[in-house]
Amino acid sequence: MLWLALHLPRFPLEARSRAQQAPGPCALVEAGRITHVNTVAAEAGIQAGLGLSAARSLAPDLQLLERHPASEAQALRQLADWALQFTSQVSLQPPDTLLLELGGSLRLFGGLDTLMTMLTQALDQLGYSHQQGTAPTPVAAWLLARHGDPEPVRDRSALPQRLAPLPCILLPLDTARQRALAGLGIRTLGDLMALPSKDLGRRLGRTPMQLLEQALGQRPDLRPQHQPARHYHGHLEFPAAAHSSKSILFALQRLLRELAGLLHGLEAGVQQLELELAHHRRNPTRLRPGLMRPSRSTKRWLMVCRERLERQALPAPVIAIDLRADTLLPLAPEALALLDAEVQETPDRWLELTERLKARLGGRTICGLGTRAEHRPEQAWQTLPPEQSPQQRANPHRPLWLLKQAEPLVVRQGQPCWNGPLVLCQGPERIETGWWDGHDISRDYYQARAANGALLWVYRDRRPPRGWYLHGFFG
Amino acid sequence: MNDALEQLLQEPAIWRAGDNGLPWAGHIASGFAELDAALPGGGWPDSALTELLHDQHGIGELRLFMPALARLSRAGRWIALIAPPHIPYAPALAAQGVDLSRILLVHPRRQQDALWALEQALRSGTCAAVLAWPGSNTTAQQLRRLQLAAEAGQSWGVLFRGSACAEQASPSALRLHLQTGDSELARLKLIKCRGALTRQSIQLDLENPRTRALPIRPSTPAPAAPTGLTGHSRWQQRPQPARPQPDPQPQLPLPLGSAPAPGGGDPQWLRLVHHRHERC
Repeated sequence: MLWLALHLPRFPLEARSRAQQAPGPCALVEAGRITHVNTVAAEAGIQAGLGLSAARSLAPDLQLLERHPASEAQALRQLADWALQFTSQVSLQPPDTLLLELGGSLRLFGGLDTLMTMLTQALDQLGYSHQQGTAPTPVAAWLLARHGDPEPVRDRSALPQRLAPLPCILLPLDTARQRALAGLGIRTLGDLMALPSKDLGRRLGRTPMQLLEQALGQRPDLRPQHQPARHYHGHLEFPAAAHSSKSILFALQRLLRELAGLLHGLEAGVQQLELELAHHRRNPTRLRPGLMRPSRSTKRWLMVCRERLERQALPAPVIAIDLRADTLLPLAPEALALLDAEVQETPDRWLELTERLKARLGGRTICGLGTRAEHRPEQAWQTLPPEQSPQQRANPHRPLWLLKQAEPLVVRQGQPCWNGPLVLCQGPERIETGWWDGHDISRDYYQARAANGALLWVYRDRRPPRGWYLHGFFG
Repeated sequence: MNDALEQLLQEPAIWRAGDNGLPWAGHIASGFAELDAALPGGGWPDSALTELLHDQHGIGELRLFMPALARLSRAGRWIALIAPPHIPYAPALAAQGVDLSRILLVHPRRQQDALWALEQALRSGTCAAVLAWPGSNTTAQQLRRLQLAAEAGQSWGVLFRGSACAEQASPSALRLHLQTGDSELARLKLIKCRGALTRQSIQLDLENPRTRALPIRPSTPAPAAPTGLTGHSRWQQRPQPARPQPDPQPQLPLPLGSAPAPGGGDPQWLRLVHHRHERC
């Protein structure tokens, strides 16, 4: 067992403000006091515990956000969903830590160092700053992470030595017990370990000693495994309203990455997303970007959403975005490329092209082409979704261009005219069919050459008034 | 002296009009032997734009590309048709040998969207050929952009435009003007051709593409080839000999129901005709 603890020291703040790419000074407020600050605000000298007016005097453009415990818990659960892509055993340590069992994933991801680099990068992309700790027991990993000691402890025997210098404040004890510990002159966990546990237990209660035993692996520590959600609903607020599609897309890619992590963990994909852009005092804009096939690729989804957003006129600046994926479809994991990297590329790029065209131009403007077993020329062809293999019935006597609507021809002295009189050079081909569905036709088709050299496909209706029509060009 | 000249000519910046060092990245055989012979590289320029200027529909503007498209459609990549003016008729395309499952039709609503879709299709690298009807008011800058997209995606872009655009400067690798004459042969004029002489005129029988040039029929009175042109031209220079005229097409009597017209007449002999061009 190797546990990784991801401790997110600014989690409550970042969960609210990470929609912004380069935030200004920003702080979280609870009961009139500041609880969390971002780096910009910390540089201005604002600290947790400060009053609002004092903070405002230090940084006049400080943004204050009200704390919201329920949405924090939800955000932590979503982050746990995201972490499922790295391991199947994820456990929550509220309010701001995730515990991941990595022992089973090391081989797949190519060792602890590679995995840590991936994790760090991925968390940065989500917009969370973090501290990590790695140890054979979850409590030890958690203590190391809270202390900010990233050096992994791989061996259980090294635990007492590595935990000894950690201060006792890290233990989750109430103020009375912390004060009692300080009164006894116990400052580090090493001091605590040196004392007989039975006597200490009598003075301080069982909790600190149990925690210590769990950290050292002397007492079993059963962790409930996080159960992933079966649908995704991400929500991000913009601290300052977003005016450009660039800033909307920035927030969107953070949500899409979170979704992609969950989908990787579940071996699933989505084909349809619901995107809701909230405006101030207006009805929200709702978009439904879709793909041809289920996918979990952030890049592809982002591309489609970008095209869709660029087509959309927004009535007002955006104050929040919601991303929903209700139907998660099973999707096989990608094969790790050995030789087939190039082979796979073309269908992917093809899908990318059609999806991009569809997103920008609308779904009905893109189609494939096929024939139908039908004698009426208007119905002998059809459009299909691209990629469907169509029927292919060749007919060499047909023109390459067919007019959408047959064009009536002028008749002069009994001769059809189109830029001058036409010379009929092949025909007639009689087509008389379709009596069963009310669209029956009865026509004689000819190839005709116009005075300017163009070869036309014309017909004469066999019913009164027996008019001549142009129906195609031999292009 | 000779060495110095040779050395100078090795400079990559110097391009000699006469040599057939390929200025195009690749080529696609057009399926018309006469046309292949006239184009440097022996076919349509791959990874570049080709412009076909014509004013009429139905004069063979699509048939000219059909042999090449038929082959490309069976090679795995896609063929995109962007903003076609009429319905590309599937049974006829299939009859020309085009694999319909590789066709992508795009009908953008506005001209700007058409240009955007055209660029995307060219650049994506998944389309072997992109046929587009972008409208006549496409500017040279837009064409330049499309040309770069075609190079990036290794796509063959074919633009169909009105013949009024012949006056406009264009970065396309090949520009052709398609006309009909009194005969049934299509007359192609090379307005611009990167890497070859222009102002050539070619007559093609689009109904019967031939992949190999046939010898001129021996009975044709062949006037002596003009010798004034120094010969690094690969083609025989001849004024156009009088073609045996096909029987005049019998005009079908109206009213209907008479005998069908005899098909085709006798096989047409194809000629590649070079107009004399100015050479120095």
